Amino acid sequence: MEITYTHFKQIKKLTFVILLFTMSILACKKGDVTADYERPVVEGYLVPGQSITIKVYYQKYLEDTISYGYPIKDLQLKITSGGSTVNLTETEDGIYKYADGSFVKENGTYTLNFVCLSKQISAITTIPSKPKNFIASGTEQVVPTFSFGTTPESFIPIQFNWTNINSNDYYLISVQCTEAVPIKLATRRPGNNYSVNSENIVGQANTFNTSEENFSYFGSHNVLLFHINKEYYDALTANNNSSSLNLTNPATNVTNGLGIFTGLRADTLKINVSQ
Amino acid sequence: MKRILLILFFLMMIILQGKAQRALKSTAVLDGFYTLPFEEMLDTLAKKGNIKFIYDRQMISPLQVTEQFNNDSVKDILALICRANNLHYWVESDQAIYLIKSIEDLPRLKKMRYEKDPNLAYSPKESLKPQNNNSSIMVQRELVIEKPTEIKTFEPFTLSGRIIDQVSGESLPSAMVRVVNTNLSTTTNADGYFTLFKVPADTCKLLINYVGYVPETYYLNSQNIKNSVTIGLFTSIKSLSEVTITGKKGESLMNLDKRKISVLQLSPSKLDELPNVGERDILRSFQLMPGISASNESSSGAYVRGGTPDQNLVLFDGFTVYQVDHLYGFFSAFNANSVKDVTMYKGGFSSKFGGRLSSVTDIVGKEGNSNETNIGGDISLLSANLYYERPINKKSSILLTYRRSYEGPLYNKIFNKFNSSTTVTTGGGAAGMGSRPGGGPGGGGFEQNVSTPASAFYDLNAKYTYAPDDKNRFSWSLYQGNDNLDNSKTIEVPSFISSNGGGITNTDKTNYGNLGSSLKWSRRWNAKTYSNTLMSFSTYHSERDNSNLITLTDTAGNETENRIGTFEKNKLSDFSLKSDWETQIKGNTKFLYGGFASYQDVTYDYSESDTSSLIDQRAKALVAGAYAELELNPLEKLQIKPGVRATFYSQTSKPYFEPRLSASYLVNEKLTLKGSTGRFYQFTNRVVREDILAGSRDFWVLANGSSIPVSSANHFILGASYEADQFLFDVEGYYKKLDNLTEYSQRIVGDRRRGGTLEEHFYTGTGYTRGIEFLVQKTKGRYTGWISYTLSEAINKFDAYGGEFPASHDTGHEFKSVNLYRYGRWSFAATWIFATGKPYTAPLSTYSIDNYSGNRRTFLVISDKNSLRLPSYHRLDLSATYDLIKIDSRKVGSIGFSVFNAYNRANNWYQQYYVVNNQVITSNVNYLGLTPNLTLSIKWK
Repeated sequence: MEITYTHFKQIKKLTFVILLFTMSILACKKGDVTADYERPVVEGYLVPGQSITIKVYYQKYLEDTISYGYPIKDLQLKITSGGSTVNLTETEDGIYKYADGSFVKENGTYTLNFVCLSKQISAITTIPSKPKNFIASGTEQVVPTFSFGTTPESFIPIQFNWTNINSNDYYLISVQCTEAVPIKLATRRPGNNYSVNSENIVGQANTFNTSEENFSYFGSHNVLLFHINKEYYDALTANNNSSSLNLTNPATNVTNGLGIFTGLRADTLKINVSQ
Repeated sequence: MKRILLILFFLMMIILQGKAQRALKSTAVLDGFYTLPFEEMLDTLAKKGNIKFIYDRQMISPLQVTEQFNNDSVKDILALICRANNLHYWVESDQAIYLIKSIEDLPRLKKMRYEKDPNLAYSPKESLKPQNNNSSIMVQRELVIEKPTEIKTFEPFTLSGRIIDQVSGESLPSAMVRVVNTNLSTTTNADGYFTLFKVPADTCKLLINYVGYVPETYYLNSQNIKNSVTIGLFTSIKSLSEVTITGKKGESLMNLDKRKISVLQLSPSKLDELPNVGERDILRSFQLMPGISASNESSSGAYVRGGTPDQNLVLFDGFTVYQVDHLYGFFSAFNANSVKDVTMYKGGFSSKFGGRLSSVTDIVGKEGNSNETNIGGDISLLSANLYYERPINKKSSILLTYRRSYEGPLYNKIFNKFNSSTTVTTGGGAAGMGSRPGGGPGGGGFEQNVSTPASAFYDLNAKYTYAPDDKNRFSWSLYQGNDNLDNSKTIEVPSFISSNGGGITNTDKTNYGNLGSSLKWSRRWNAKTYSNTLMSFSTYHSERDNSNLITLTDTAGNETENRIGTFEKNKLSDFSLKSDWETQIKGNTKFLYGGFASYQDVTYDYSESDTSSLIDQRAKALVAGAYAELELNPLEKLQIKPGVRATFYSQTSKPYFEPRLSASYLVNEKLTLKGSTGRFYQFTNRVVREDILAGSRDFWVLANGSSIPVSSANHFILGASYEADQFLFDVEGYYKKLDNLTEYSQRIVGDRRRGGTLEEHFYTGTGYTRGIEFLVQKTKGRYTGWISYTLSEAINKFDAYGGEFPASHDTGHEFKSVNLYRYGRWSFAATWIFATGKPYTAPLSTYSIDNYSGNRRTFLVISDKNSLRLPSYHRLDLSATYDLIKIDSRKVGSIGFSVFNAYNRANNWYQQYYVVNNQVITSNVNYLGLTPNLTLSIKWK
């Protein structure tokens, strides 16, 4: 027997010393990272011929259950384009408006500026050109009836086509029910809370086929093709991953802030939905 | 279950066969009643069986034998009387039999014989006269006995030889050969050869150390130095009594050569003493040493000194292995039964190796037993493995091993770690489309019929060795490893949805592996020049099919099929040719040089729904060059190794020069100072997706000089080691500067159903790692083990992530304690690992905005990259192993029980975030909890 008690003791002692050393270094380590809640969230879409509405919110705490952040009140929002600057007025808490629809023009460049919590917030955007050659393969969309125990007919989509002017421009399709009192279709999807508008960011494509999920209601619909900026595409298709292994920050074009301030330009076609 | 039973049955057969087996080749029988002293019994047996016994008189003389024999064979009688007296015997290759209590008695008896110790007894007695050189007393190998009495040769001479395993004839690479009482020492090369220059006298003793083997003293004399010597070592076996052999270097599971810097050597033969998760794991066991991170539980790959696993070059019998693990990285892809020796270079490595930034793991496969046929295997809760080795003739031998996992509870536990959360995370931006149909809220309430098919991994090794003469050796080695991970599901559509039924088949198959083969010719041109020429190929493949096949049958009986999903394919082929040469120029100067060329072809396809190809990359490259290294000993105590490696890379059409330098200085017998530095380039990079749910786990790409630059590193290492009687202290500090690192990210944006676009991002950055490593190792005695502490930092700097941030594998502090204790045939092990938590990125706040159409979208605002730390990682693993040792001292197997994560610590792997009622809920995804395992290893001989 040649391992002696002293050896054990020696090793024990050494282990202890090293552990103590480790602990002491660990003790001085701080690892807290705090959020910058002062960056305001901006939401603003500029469409030629329409009045301007900009919403400004606070961010939400992780544990908040509210849908949107608290509105930020009493801000002085200004939008500059060319030589002219307009001031927005706060109509509701955190909602700032400018009523004159003629201010936003195609191809114009607009800069939003305001001071929030003593920081200069700004964002800049250009209104894209109107989409070209927007056509549809039909005007009547039939959504097959769904009921238990039967095999539904197949859905025949309407195809929309347009010219992607620079072939790398971005587009989105918004399908909007224009009925005053929308009546729900009998679809495979349960639930009632379907929005009258459905939005599909189609990216750099030049074609779009409708699918069943685009329609929840009967009647007349507008299909709007928006020529959008990359900033819209980036901000709203941002990867919203849910694991700490792959988190990335959502894109924004708001300096010192979050959210989106962008221009869109639409062309509209009308279709009718039946079952 | 059937399969397990079959394997068990097979193993039982082997055990039964093993019982009938005797290494002793005597057929004599004995009859009658015997009551006599043990010594006289031995004389009787010796006479009858015409065999020779050698024993320690003090040990044997008190013993008595009283037995009735009835035509019993000498072999059986010997076994019987040994067992009755708690003895073992050891049969030498020439049938001389040593009687021992433990294997450590063997060298002691040999030493006694050399010193003509009067206590050593021989049976039959006449062999006592040692002067009679030609008599039967010359039982031993050439290692004998005669103390030279003639004129002593004082002229220094050159001695060359080979170190082998005495039992299997397997050559032992990297064994230490030292001339006792001098500073002369060398290590054997890949084929076990060594050459010592300026050996002062033929009366010197050689001391040979090799991990997992009993240290051997070899006595030179005027005869045996004339030719090349062959020295056989014996596997060390735990035994009933422990004898301290003073003056000999202890042997441990993991060895450090004090003259080399940042080199670790491991003997797989001792691996079964360590606790394991299902498998004896070669690469994972290195994680217990300082500088190699142990807290990446999901990866058996080596994070060496802040490097990533793809910066570690893994060579198996000379060819590069690209896929080094199984089951999402949990197990290394090498079967311990096919591996002879593993050496890991943690940094500052020789110019012989190149093409990687951080480290080299050099694995030498077993050649197969050249003395006798053997068969054996292991079975654990995870896999079963078998090996077969046999000499084909006197000049060649063959080894075959095969390992396969089965879907036991342990396999499923790990598999599910990687697959259980499919419903929650759908990688990329395909927010609208879960990858598993029926998992969404719409599926609730329906009765679903889900079936999951089988998945498994396997690997096989084959090696054929042919040695036509003493100078040439040819060997052919084949390795194949493959994983078929299948997480596919078939969901029957309930009949009330579709009257005639139908189904949704979700295919999620990942298939990856490596096939490699090498043909090696090694030749000893003369005592001074040795060459090793290798032709090899290695192919890596990784495929992932993640798609849904939706079949619906309508009332008219027509079937409609729809296949939606993504398909990835990556393939790498590598054809290589290299030749390594070693020449001793003068006694104290060695010249290493060689050339290499390899042709690599990499393809990567990413396609969607059978039709659209999103990425289709094809790259080919030729890497060729030469290296030279000098091993100088300008002073007796100083060794300097300058070297240079030059490589031409065809993708950039540029030459790359890598100067290397390492040095060691023996301050005195105990203290060694060492240092090394060098420049390293890497041309092939592996891209790892941490989020395995988003696609195939990893793939290889070639540097192209633009989006993927050739990365480089500079190493600076300083260290010292102090070897006390029973302890070894080692400290090393390092600084590693990394340039042109590439990170790759990929995401699908837009709507996946309509063929969203796939964005590829290559980010280029720099980084550095630095650290200091301490090791205290107890190398001798019943209690062995080590404690190590590493303080390190791994920082990356990528402009795309806003500057400097801790690398994802940065650990800060790492403390490891490895304790091995032997008690008789039992060995117990406890390892405890503590590490600072890994850095991670977390959401700090959220915000919601409406898109233009008025639909609300919620986003997470995240912290700076890796600015938070997960809780500390710590884990205790325990194991107990019982050796099955036969009466003739051969270890024929072991039974091991081990518990991984014994106190069931919930170590955090990563965090997941869900938005529920606008609130962000954080949940921890943890590594394995308490996991027991049972391993049975058996061999025939």
